[in-house]
Amino acid sequence: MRSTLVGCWVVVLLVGAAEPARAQFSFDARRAGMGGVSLTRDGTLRRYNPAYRAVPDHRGGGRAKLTIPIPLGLLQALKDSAAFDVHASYFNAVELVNKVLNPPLYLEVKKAPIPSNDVTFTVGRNALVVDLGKAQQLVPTDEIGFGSSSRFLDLGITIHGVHAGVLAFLQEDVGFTLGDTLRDFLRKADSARVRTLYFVNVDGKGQGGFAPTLSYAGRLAGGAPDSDDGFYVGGALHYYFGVAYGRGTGTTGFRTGDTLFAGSNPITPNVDALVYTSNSIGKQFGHGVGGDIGFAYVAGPVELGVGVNDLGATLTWKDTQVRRLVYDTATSSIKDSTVLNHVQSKTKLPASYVANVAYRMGQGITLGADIVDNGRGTAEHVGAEVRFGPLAVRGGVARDTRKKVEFGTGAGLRFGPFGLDVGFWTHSNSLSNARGVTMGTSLSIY
Amino acid sequence: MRAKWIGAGTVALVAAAALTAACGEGRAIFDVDVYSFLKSGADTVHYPIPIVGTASDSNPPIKVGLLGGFGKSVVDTVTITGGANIVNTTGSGSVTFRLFIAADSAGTYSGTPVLTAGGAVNGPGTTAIGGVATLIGDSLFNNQTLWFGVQARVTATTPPVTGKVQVTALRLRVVMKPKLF
Repeated sequence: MRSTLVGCWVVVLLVGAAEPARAQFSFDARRAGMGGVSLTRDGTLRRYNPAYRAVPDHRGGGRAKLTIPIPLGLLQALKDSAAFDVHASYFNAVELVNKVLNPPLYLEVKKAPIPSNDVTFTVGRNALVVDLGKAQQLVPTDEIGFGSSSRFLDLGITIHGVHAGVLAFLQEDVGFTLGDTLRDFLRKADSARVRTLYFVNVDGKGQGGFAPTLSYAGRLAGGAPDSDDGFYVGGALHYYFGVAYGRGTGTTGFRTGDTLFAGSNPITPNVDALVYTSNSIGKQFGHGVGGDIGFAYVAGPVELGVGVNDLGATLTWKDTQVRRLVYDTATSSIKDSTVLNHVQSKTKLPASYVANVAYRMGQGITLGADIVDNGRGTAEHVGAEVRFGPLAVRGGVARDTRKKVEFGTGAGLRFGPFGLDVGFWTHSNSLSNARGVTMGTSLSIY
Repeated sequence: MRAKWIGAGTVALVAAAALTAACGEGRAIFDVDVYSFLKSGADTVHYPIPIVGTASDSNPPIKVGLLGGFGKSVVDTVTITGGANIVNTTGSGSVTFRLFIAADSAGTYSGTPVLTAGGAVNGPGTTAIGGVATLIGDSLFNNQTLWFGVQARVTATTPPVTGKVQVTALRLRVVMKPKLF
């Protein structure tokens, strides 16, 4: 019981603490070497900008038919696997969490330093101070959480730019925010106080369903038929059918008693949450309408585009139940009561967008930049590639979703249809304030 | 109390424990002001010894709650620092302050004292005593609850010897290598 609870909190508090930086991860070493920017019309552009579905691949090549990551990091992870024996005295939970946050597909050439300081607990009859030392930096000050909005299935037919089909969507979002008292207790080593509530705000949501879709992508103007040049537009209209949704929001924590360690009632658990769930899952759907829109402009060496997904995507659930969960001190259990039933509620799918620009300067030099928001924060990338025959040299800089600046550099060799690329990039996907450096390697077939 | 601290999902303490465990080679150090627990009425032991000889007087043990989640940790060192005043009223002899620590109330005084400090007394007066003890690798301190007992052991040479031992400071410093699983 004790291990389970502690383990749960290790996962919840530590995994959540650095999650938002996941957007930096890429399987393509070329992209990694340019700070995350893509100079080809790849999946990210086509996912978020419907106009790009009409833009042909760049005639100069560059977009690989297949990119295979070379997982040197897995060998490293296997070699280090003994360090993840939770029963060993040298087990370090932070290191394990860092592996989750920064999957060891690629080789970690510089690990972010992990705090390894002493932690002091000062205990008195009416005093408790926890001094985490350097580990205080791991205590989040803002909301921590994770989530995504994905379209994991998109089936249909396309005729002359008109696409009719159905897509499946899934969105989840979980956030935790430490209350002031708990945050100061852990981060500032404030003494615990009597008759005080220590809590975490919790807000989580998940919804999924399918959406019949009608979309169009095409070139409106400009350019010869054998040229990429032109002004492209794309749009999609979705009618969302929500299959299921659930949401929980509230606080959980504890309230201290009249004395911290010697009273008859040292603490009282505190749980107070509202839980919303859709009734009749699979029988009665949530309904909503939303759309995607985008444009792309290609004029010789210049290319730019903007695309937005899930505009106005609000789902109405006609039959939902609202329950309240409250910790009952009399029975030492959580009471579950229905507050409202068969009521209407609304949810939103977060709008996501991409804006990109690329400039092919000639002489093998290409510059590019993009801004991507996948519904949970914005990341910006700027990068460049210079080609000298079969050799490519790359560099870039990015600001990730946690507003941290990252750097990338790399190189590649291409021989006919095969290319071997290596990219180094810094990342902050670790429970540390310092950056780590990862080396990515991939093989591409053009 | 133990069940409440752990079973209720005490966010701060468990999170702190988790972070402690996360600190790799770092150690968990507990600095416990035991005196703050004794002050609630157990910091003074009165000794009335009417005849020549040796006798002991003790207070009921006091429970001291520590933090949960460290049951499997490896205790490195334990340092106990104590201070007391012997306030003698009558008689002469010697008075020894003895500190006992145990995992349960019933067995508190059945073991060996972990700290002793004493001095001679001769008529009315106050004598300050103190001592430091260090224990190595004592798994007793893996317990979330410890019982502390304060005893006055008096050897009377000129009875009646009466007075009290009044604890003025008592701290416990436990250094351990945290291990949660």
